Amino acid sequence: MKRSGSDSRPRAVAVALAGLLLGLIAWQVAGERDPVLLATPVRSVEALAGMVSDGTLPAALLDTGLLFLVGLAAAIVGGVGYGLVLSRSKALRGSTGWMVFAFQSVPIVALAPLILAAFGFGFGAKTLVVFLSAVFPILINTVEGAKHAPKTLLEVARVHRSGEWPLWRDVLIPHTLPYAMSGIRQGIAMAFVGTFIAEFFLQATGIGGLLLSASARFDSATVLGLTVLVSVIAALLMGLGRRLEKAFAPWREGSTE
Amino acid sequence: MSLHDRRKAPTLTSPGRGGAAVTIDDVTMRFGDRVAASNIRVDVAPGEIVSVVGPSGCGKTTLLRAVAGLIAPSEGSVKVDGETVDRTPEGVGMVFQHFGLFPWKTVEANVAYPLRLRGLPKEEIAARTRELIGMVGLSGFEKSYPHQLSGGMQQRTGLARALAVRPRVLLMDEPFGALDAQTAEVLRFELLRMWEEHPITMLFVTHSIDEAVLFGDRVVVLKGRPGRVHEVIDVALPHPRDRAVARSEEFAALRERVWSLVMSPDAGQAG
Repeated sequence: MKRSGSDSRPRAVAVALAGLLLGLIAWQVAGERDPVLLATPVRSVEALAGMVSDGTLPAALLDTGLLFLVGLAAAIVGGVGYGLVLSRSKALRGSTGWMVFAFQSVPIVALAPLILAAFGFGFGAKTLVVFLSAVFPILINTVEGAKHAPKTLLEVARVHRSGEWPLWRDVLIPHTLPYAMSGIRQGIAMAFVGTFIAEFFLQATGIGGLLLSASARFDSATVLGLTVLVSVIAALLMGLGRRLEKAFAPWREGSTE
Repeated sequence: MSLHDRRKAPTLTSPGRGGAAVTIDDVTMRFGDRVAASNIRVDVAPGEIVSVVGPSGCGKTTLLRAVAGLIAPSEGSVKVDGETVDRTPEGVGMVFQHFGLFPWKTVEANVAYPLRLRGLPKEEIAARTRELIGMVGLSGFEKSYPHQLSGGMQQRTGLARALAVRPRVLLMDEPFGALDAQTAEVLRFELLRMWEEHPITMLFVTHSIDEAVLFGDRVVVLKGRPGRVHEVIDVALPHPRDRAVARSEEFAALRERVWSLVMSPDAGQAG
């Protein structure tokens, strides 16, 4: 993997900012030509500021954030937990493993209305949609990691007469953690998409709800403003995910494996 | 020095009970249809070092793993101090060819691993870990991760971990096989020096004939496919086994003898 040195960092930031500026200028120019379809950045910022001052945006952010976090947390606990269990139990692997791999390819978008209808459109049902969107990459990465626990280290544990719980503490969990973290990084992106899917159907809530109603009103300033806001949040979350992935495996740094 | 003299009074890092006797009694190892080792009998006296050499595929590592309780013999039995091995017995330490260190644990944590598993008090673990790390010459590297260390330093860590259990028996699985020649040479003589201070039973599997003769009180030469005992050679070289011993004529003669046995056509050397 390529790692940027500390001296190239300000340059990378400058390049990114220049790109952003160019994009904004292009957007402003395009918006002035067709103000109905494409509101200008200035008007979009005004629209966002209006929603902040009347309190709708903070409330929506809180709604969306809560849904995202609860769904993602459930997916992490469920995905990593079941993944570890699955890796140690042949019986469970045989009976449910194939289902995991079959189910992961089902598009949650298609199932969302069904799930929401079945579980009552409330916070619980929406959380379930987020959970289902995010859990599979986490689960699958965890299983893959745990499955490849080095044989030698498992033997080292046996030679030292390790019990089952110390085996998890000393070998399986630390070995699997970096794999699980890659899964969680993908899971963050999936949970993000899942959150908006959950918010779009029937009882529209949160940022998704605001987007939907602005879109219906043909309020392009609000739609574009929210879209940019959402992309910025998504980018920050992905950055956070990558940070986490590194932070959880300090021994991997410069590893020659 | 007789075998009996080597069983000194226990010190802090030496085994409390002295070396154990290892009995490999008519062991046959089968994997499916393949016979890896057939009717192997080796008795190792307490405090004795027995080297095991032979062509690749002669089952020497398989045999060691059976003594470690990692795989069960298909026939026959392995006993440590008269007790049949069905899992790794208490007080058996093992040094792995590729070190077997936990990459996510520091040197300190790797060495402390067996002590933590035993649930010893924290202060005792810290004290013994410090002593073991000092013994293998790694003081100052307590907080390093294995990938930050050279191969030699990693194997020093592996050795310290094996000694942490105050072993009655040390099982060496080609411990210097993954190191460069120079590092291996240094570690060999250091291990021999440590052994002279705290002699314990050692079963030493190696593909280096020099190493087998240098360490062994006896050298068991296996022949291949399936592995059987070809010949057992007594090594009457003096102790301590230092560089002077390795340069002696007796050493060279024994080395030649083992070499010709390993290389003889009916040893099954693949080339």
